[in-house]
Amino acid sequence: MNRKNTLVFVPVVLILALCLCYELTLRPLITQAYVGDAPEWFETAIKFLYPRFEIEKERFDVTFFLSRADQVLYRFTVVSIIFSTVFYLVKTSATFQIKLNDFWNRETSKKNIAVLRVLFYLSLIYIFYDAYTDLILLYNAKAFYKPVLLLRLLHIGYPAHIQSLLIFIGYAGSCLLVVFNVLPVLFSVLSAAFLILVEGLFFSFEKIDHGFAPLTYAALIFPLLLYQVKKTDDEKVNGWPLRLITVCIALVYLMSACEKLLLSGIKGISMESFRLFLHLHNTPLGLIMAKNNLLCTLLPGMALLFQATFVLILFFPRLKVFILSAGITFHVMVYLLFNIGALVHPWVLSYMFFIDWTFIAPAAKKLNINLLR
Amino acid sequence: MENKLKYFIITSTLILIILPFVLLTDLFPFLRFGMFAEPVKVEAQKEKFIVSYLINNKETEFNPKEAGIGDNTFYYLARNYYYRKEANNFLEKTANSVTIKTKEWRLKRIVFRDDKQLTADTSTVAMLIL
Repeated sequence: MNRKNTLVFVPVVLILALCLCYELTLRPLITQAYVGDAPEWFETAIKFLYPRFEIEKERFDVTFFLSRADQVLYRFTVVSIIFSTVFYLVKTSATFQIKLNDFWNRETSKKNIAVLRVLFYLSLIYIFYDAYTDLILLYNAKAFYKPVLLLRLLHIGYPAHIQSLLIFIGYAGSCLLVVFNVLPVLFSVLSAAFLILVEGLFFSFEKIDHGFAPLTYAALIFPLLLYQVKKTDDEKVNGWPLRLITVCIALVYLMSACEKLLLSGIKGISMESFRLFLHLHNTPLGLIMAKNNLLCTLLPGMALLFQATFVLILFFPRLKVFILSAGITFHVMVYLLFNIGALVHPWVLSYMFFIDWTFIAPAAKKLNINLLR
Repeated sequence: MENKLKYFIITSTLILIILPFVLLTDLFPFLRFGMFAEPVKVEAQKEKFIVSYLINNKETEFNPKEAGIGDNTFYYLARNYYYRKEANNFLEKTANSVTIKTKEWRLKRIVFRDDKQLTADTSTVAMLIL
């Protein structure tokens, strides 16, 4: 068997084997788990992967969970096929390799990264400027503390007041040091670690706020961008980490759209669903909007279209202004209609990564702003 | 070598970002995004929980901020505890989180009969006598 055939054959066999294994063993185990009759290892796996199972099984029948499990299999199959195809093309097509390298290896200027560094780490301070007071307040409710998996694995309990203060100083301090370009790689890693710790503590009360995710992903990747700056003396830098941040943000929107279509289908954007959500969230503007049939028909479809097509920003830079304006409108509307998020939403702050800030550097120099070193 | 490391980091990051979408669950710090993705006709979206306590035989609605917790999180917890059949445990934890001097705590569940929340059935689902 030649190399090309192996690259096709192996993933296909693996995916088929998994589907067979799921149909013959895992699917029946879900029915058993629903009636509390599954083997211990499977119950443990469910607690680990799907902690809401105990709550949801009181509300839904077994078909709900079987359909969810089927979804996992479908999604896994589709994602595996996409990854395998990309891998196959990388190994077999020189043209594809060149295009892939072109996509990832976009150069960016050190000035752009310097402006982004200042804006991004100031944004991180801004989104959690009140983290210390919130950590202290939540201490009263520590009886409800149920650490997220990562904190559970690290055996991190809810911090006492002094520990909360140290965490906040560590977080804000490391962000500020990156802003002032003091050992930026080291302190950007530290600030990402503290950010995850702070978020982990807030999310350990059984409710996760998804609003900070793009900035968190960016915080995890940004140290690589600062490392790129450090390792070269040239003004131009290989900006692949910046590209990776923008890809992650675009993927988040795309996955949101897919999630809606896969779970609710076209009903998810129906006028009735939208109107019901407006009534449930009960905001003044939302209640006015709920009376308008045309808007209740158009808005959910437009929101889905925006989420599904945001990814175009990666391939058509000319659409940048239009897509980012649509994004700002989308988040402002979500805030006004559903009271979710804020007017200055962290997702909107993450749009800074789509802008080339090189143009700002000369102006900053005139103003003698030394942060942009 | 450097190129391989770069693509290894890119691939690993993308897998981690996509994994919650595939498994339909949050794997903090990597999250699943599904705002308004679930079908709307589920009971959880037509119900509300309220915690109250008695002072001088007068029922007062509890403000979650007194326990240092936001409204959304508090009632999300209430729903979780209720469906896990741990409503009394929830009231005990609430009572221990505040300094309110009361002898009776109640958890109430309101189920709306229509989409506009004009009519509803209210029932006390747990009661804690101290």
